[in-house]
Amino acid sequence: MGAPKHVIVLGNTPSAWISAVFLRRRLQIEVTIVTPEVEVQKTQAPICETFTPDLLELHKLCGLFEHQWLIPCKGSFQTGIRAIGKRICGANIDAILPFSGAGANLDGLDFHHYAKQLNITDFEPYSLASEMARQNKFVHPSTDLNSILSSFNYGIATDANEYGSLMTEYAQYLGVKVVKVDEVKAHCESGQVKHILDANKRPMSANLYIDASEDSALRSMQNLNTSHDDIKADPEGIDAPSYTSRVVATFHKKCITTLYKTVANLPKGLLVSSSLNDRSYYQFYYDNKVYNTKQIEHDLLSNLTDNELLISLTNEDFKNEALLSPWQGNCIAITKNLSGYAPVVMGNLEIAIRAVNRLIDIFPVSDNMDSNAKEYNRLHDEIFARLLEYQQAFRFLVRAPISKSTQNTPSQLNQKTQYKLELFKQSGMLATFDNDPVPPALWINTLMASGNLPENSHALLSHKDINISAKQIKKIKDLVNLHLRKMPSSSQYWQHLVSSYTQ
Amino acid sequence: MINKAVQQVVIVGGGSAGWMTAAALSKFFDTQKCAITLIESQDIGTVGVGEATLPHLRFFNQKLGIDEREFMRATESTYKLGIEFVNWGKLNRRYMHAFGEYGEPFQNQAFHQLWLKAWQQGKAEPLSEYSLAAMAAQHNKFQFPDADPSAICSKFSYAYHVDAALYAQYLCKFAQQRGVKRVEGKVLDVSQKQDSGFISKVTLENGQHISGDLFIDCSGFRGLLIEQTLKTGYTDWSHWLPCNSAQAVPCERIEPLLPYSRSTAHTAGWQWRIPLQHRTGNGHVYSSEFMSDTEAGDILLQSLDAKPLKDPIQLRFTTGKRNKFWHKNCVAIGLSGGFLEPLESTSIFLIQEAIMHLVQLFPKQDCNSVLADEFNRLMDSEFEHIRDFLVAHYHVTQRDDSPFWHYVRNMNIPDSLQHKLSMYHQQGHIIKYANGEFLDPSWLAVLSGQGMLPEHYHRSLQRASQSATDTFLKHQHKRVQDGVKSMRTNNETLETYLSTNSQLDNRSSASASLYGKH
Repeated sequence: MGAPKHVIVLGNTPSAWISAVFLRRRLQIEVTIVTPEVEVQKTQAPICETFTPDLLELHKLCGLFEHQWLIPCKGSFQTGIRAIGKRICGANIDAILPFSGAGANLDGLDFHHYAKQLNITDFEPYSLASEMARQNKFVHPSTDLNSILSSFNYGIATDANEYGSLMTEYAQYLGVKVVKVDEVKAHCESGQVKHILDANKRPMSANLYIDASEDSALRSMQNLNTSHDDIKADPEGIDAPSYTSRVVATFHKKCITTLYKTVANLPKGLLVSSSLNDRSYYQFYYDNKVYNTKQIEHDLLSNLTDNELLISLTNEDFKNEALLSPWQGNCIAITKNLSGYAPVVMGNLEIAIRAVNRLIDIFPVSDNMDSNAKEYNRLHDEIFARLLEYQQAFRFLVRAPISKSTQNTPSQLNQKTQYKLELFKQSGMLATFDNDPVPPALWINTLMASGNLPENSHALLSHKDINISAKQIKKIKDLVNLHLRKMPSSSQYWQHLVSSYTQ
Repeated sequence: MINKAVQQVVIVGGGSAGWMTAAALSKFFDTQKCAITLIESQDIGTVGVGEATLPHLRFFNQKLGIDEREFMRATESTYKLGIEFVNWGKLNRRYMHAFGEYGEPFQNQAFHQLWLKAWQQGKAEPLSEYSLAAMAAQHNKFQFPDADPSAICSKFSYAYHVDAALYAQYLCKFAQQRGVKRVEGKVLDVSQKQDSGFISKVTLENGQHISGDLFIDCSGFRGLLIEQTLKTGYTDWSHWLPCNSAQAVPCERIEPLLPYSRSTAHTAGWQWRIPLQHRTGNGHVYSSEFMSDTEAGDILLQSLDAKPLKDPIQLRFTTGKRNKFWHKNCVAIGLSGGFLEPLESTSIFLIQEAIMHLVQLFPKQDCNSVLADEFNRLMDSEFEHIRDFLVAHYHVTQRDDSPFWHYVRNMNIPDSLQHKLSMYHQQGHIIKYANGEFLDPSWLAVLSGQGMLPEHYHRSLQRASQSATDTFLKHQHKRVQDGVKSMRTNNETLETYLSTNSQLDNRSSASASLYGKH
């Protein structure tokens, strides 16, 4: 057997379709998608998927420019995350955490050092992205690097079902073959998938298999004795989050499309919500051993107003699991890599898109895939560890529970997270590690918003006149205001975009 | 107790490390509030072999506000576009590791993937012909990089060949003008605080005591503070990098001045040749396990391209690094922190990196351990990445003509390098890392130059249109050749630049796009 020429993707999930699209488009390889009937029949509750800025570039790699997926999916722009909770000190937090840095780098030092020097606690007026989100105004960033309009970046939010439908259509347009099966039956030997049976029980084989099914069916059948052993609650010792379930609710609602996703730490759990056009989406993460599901659903619905109409309400229990080393033999598990993971910064679909693109970067060139699997798993495990560190830090900083104990203490944090927090406190420096998918600016914004400024001004500012710093920083604020005044509302801008693309 | 700001920094040792540190700290901090004292002795020589640099030095000088002309005149510097390696992969074969990119990406794939496909089809020119920096060096041409990112002449960077002793002298003046106090003398004794083990003062031979809050050890290989006092320990990498000796000798200037260093492999090591304005630096790095000092000296003198100006000096070293670069209130910078042979001109780069990390993590008097941990983590990463790159030069070779080459070719290498080589060899994939040198073009230059070509190109190019790839490749080749033709010779550019004070050449300031983070 030589270089893989044929890949079978198992699953009828958005992750499966997007994997097929990327493989087909970027590698021009033969791709067959096998969709189990049970998944076809399962109605997918509508949820909102948000993507960080990197995803725009990744979509271009598969031939999809922004307007080609944003408009059909009724998506919106996202300049950051809105965090609601309490600070360690007990004060309330309601902060926009942009994907891009606040202020500017002056004389080699980032804005937060000046914020410390000048005792600034409200950073939003110094961040164009934050103010855009607050005032719901938007334009695309400028390509002129000297302009403040180039200082921000943005992600995308879409309805996951709309997005899934688009990708299904696109996959078929690209020539991905679709085979429907009643249930998944595969033959595996020595950890290698040999073939999958089609609806007529005929074997279909490929060089490489991607398991993007809801229940990781193929991986279980590989019989590697690893499908469960590999699943660890605490990669790198991260304490498991205490949530066990989530309620997903979507409403019709005349609402303003927001330029952020809200993550709120509420008394009974963590609420992740977004608004797109005429819908609002909620995912509520909680512990079903403490709170009754019906009660949680009731709480969520009791806030409804007359102009809201429930579209769907589902509940899902989950284990807090991370699937490590997902490439085993000739099969890569791509979906459900993080079960029970509250998508503070990125959701499972973004994780899947990043995963399939990592696979494409190091796509095997022969039947010897050992080095490829080693590299893929190394990257995967590092990325997950970094994601969970951010997730844990976020929850810690907004005082959401990070473990089953009720009191958050730094000692409950994983070592690297503790290290990052302590280093930032001591020096204002962010420790960066290889393969961290969370933008450094988001890390710093999160730390700042939660009141974790460095303890002291940076030594480099010790001989800088505080009045000069104040003037420089004020200029940034003025510039932000100046540009905001001229900026259209996001709905005006959206209409303008749609009409220009339609023409 | 209030944790006070550091008020007294004591740097033990001059040389490049000591004076670069003093210059940077005096530039970034107010010496009225934070006194900086540097202790050095004229009786203790400096190693001074770090004469070839990486492009990062331009950013360092720029941050210090140093005028390039003034610096080049004062240090007898010349431009450096890269290093030519001779007899490394194979006898009588040479290649250039230049500071520049190879071509442009094609269909979202790195250029070398496309090149590989064409090369396998017999349709490509040698890889170096797609690198402007490599071609310019080969044709003895030089010009400043273009600020316009779309121009072919923006696709490279440059460094300097510099007289390290003169650079130290230049920075000595620079630092003293900014309030650094130089003390002549040898350190006789080091005192530590009983409770914390922090260094409290050093005592000189003349009985003078010098107290400090923060001590920078730039005392060279011996590590007077970091090792002799604080006993941090040393990680020895000589099983991977077995060269442990060097002899260095300057010779007369060679015409024309070449815009690159040369590294010529011998039977138990290699020889450097570094062109400066006033002389040429030479040295033979070798393993004493495989070659005697006498033989090494003979080879060095016989291989000189001009008359020697002095007798060779002898150096001994153990490749490796301190287990902790920063321990308690002492930071080791330069050779006291570790030594990697100068094969890729990383000595001054590592000094510069350490200084910039220290500035960013500058402590209070308590020297919080998390700052030291971060400094050590970053420096470990720098050293380990460079180590792997250097080991690759020796290990990826077809030479087997001496016991030395037989050893390095067959030795076990670090797992990190093994995995990196495996991914590259299989399919041209170069594993990236966040901190530390070197970048993809450097790995590509060295691995392909040593004779290791990937077996397969990226799968996405299998169905790329043949005519499109042919046209693209020809265009890339032509751009480079045209770019080189438009350049002036290295001597012309250097002489014109140094003989005037105007900025008529419209050169851009150093950009961090290719090489250099700080």
